[in-house]
Amino acid sequence: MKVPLNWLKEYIHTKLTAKEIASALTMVGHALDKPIYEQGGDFIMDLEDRGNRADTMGIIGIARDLAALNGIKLIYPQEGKIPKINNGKITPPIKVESDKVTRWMAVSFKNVKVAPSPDKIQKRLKAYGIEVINNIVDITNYVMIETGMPLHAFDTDKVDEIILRQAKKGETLVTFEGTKLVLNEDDLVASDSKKPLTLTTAVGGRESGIIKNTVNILIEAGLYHQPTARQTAIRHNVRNETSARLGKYLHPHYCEVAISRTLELMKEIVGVESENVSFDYYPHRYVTKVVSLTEKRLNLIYGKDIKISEAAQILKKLEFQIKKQDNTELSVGVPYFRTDVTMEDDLIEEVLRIKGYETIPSYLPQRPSPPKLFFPQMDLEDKIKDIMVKMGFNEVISQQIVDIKESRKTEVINEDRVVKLQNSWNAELNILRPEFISPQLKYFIAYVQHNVAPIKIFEIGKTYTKEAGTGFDKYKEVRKVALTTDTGFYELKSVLERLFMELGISNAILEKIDFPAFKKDVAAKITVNGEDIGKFGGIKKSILYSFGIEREVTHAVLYVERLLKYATEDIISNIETSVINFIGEDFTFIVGEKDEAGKIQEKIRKELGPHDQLNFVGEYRDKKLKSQNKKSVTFNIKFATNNLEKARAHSNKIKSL
Amino acid sequence: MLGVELSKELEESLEKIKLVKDLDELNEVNLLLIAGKNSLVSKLGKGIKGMPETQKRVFGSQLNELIEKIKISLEHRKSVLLELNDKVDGSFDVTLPVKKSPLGRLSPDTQVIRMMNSFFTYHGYSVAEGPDIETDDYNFERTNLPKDHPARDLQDTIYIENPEILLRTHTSSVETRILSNCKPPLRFVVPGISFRNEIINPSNHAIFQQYQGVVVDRGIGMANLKETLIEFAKYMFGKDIKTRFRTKYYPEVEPGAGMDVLCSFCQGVGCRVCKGRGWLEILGSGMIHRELLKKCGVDFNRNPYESSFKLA
Repeated sequence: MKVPLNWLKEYIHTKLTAKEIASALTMVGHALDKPIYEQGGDFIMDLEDRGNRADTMGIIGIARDLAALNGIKLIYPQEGKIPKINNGKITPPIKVESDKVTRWMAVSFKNVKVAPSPDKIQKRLKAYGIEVINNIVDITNYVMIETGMPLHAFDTDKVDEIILRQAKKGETLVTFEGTKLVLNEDDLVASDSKKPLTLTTAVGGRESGIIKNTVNILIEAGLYHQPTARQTAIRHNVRNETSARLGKYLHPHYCEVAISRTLELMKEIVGVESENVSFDYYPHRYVTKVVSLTEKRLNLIYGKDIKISEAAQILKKLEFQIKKQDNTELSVGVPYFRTDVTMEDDLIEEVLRIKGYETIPSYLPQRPSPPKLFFPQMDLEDKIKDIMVKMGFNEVISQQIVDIKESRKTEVINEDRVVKLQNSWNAELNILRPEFISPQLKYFIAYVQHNVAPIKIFEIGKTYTKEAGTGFDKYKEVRKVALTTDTGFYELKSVLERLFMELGISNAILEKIDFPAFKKDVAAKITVNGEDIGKFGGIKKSILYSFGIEREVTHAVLYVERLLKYATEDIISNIETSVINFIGEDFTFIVGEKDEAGKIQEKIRKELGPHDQLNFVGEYRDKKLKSQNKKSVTFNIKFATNNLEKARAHSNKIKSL
Repeated sequence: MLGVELSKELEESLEKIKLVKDLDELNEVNLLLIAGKNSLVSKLGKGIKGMPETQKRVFGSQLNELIEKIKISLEHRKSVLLELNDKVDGSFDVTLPVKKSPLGRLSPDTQVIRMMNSFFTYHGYSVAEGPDIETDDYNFERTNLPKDHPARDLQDTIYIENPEILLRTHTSSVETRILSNCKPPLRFVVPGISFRNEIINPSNHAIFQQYQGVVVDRGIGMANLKETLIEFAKYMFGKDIKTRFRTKYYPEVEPGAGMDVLCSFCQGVGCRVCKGRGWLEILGSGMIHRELLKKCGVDFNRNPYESSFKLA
């Protein structure tokens, strides 16, 4: 809401500068949206739109808060008297056929002289930033900015009747700005017998508007079903002063306020009185709300004592009516313009903001902390992040919304299970992340461009899928650890093993798998107690090529929830300190070329005690072995014992494997 | 006493050892003299075979003496060489730049979230989380944003299945989930991402980090909220930070409050960054709206407060 300083001072006598006013208003809930600027010879305070306060869309509403804050009187502008209501007598005839009309008031004028507005009005409107048209249109705009209630004027010589109805599908309307709108049944229009004249909730039409040679007019103030107004504005992308106000919760009494103010200005500026009947469609009368306020709750929220009488004084300044008052409780009538106030806490906010939030005392909650809520995977994730960082991995956070075309390149997604978005700010970002390979490769490219070597990145995040089932329950979010590196398969394997060790997972087993994104032969799944806890492998050259990457990249993905199941982090530290001595020996096995060293390792491990250490030394193929399709693998075992005999016996057993 | 022959051999050997310049060479000489298969000692040893028994004994002990002396000389030379090794010519560059072996880094988001978590866990809050894909019920209905509420316009929603299944527009959906399923008293924070269908500009992204704190307990009021936020601002920005607590509207709270810190770009004068206010808005907060509590099944006489912090 833009507030020109001089216009504001029409309703409140104050010597405060624009800066002082803006700073006072900020404290009571109207902060500046941008720095104060000069326009049309005035200082303009552009205040943030306050969602729940329809009254502050009029300058009087702002003036009212300022008056209450400074303890000064608000000067209301002159109003004219509304002629007797006679809905049948008005010309042109008006019919209301839609149940979306809350209230519709109108007065008509004959033989008006359309001319430019006087200087004062023009200056005000220009300062506000609204285009000056002619005296009639300017008056409707002036009243709207002043009160917050939009008005519209029809040239009644161009209109045989006015019908408020839902539009028919495909009907069109050319707005006064010249935009052609195609309407549908959800739009509310004022039409004549033939065609829509205005989109009543948002914008006026060109044909029935006021022009230079208009002589007979009708000015209306109408309120409508608020959601309809908002949805129409969004649907037709009509964002203007009218639609902004009609989208808020304005009380029907505003129709009267706006019409009576218009009558006064028409007399003052155009020099005409209205016809002697007015139109008022108001099927469901609103009653004044009465809300009570207790001293007990007021003091609780405030944090120290305020007398109920002081609260009453503050509320009176804001034009609330004190209906009943005793030592501990108030019964308060809410003024029509404060549609935002519906309950006790709303009144408390009113008292607090005028008294000043700076007067609220400050102390911490006095009661002991409640029991901890249990989210163990968050602790585990923190631990994993620390371990990964120590191993030289950089954390990245890739975007949760991705391009399906990029994900398809990885060959791992099942299109039926992808979670698609119905709308997005970017047409290419259309699904929720189903896999981590493509988003991490994008990060990988950025690291390549920055000449980082070696590249080691990781993240912990979710992938999203759609499973069988109905409604919300079919959507699955799975938290995963994803790693991408160019240091090679074995290096990544060693990283994973270190991670498992740190987490206390000692029995992870690898097994070769086929996985669409990984090179054949260079892909493994990791299981613990037969449960799949993740997989890793070298990404296929063709996939890397499609992302423009020309080096080897290895990728791993682990399930957080399953790691949590097997992680017993506290056992680790005990092992290395409790053992007194180790007796070490190398063991070399000649095996078939395709035999898996991991399997051999498992076999050996089964023979070892819990504290014995098994380390891989190396794999060897020379010409002789190759010609026999064999290779040698060597392990080093450190037997955790002081007894040489025992170690020797143990050693012989392993040699015989 | 060594015989003439062995004395000569010894002399030559010691001469050889003296000329050795490095440890590798010393090793070679060692092999040559005593350790190798064809070393001097083994050659001499072979000569013992044809000797008479008495001579054998004498020669044997002389040979041992020879070995012993060579060994001592080798040891001596080794220690001299090692010492020489230490005395380098000053060409060793201690400042030579070396290849780095860096630690990884946490993302800035994680670092800030951890800092915030550490403040709140110290004050007895749990760290909680919830789903990104949400129902209209938890995201809007229970947060006091019923259908047709104007504030829904501000939170342009990304839908999975319009109108019931969507991406959460705020972390308040986690708040409503916890309030609906756990019994007060409660104290928790929710770090998490939120999604809005907004055009991206330098200060807004469609996907952003939020941080939200909730306290539901007896006797909680604005004074508790205010102090918590002041302490929080000091923790994050230093104890000299100037803060301001002011009225601010949010549909989920009543009364609502905003917290500003003095603009560090203009020191309160007013500039573009702070929109001319002189202060930077860092968070929104307030007492949880009674309607929200009611919709989550919480007895509102418990007088809770909510504070909802955002971080970009």
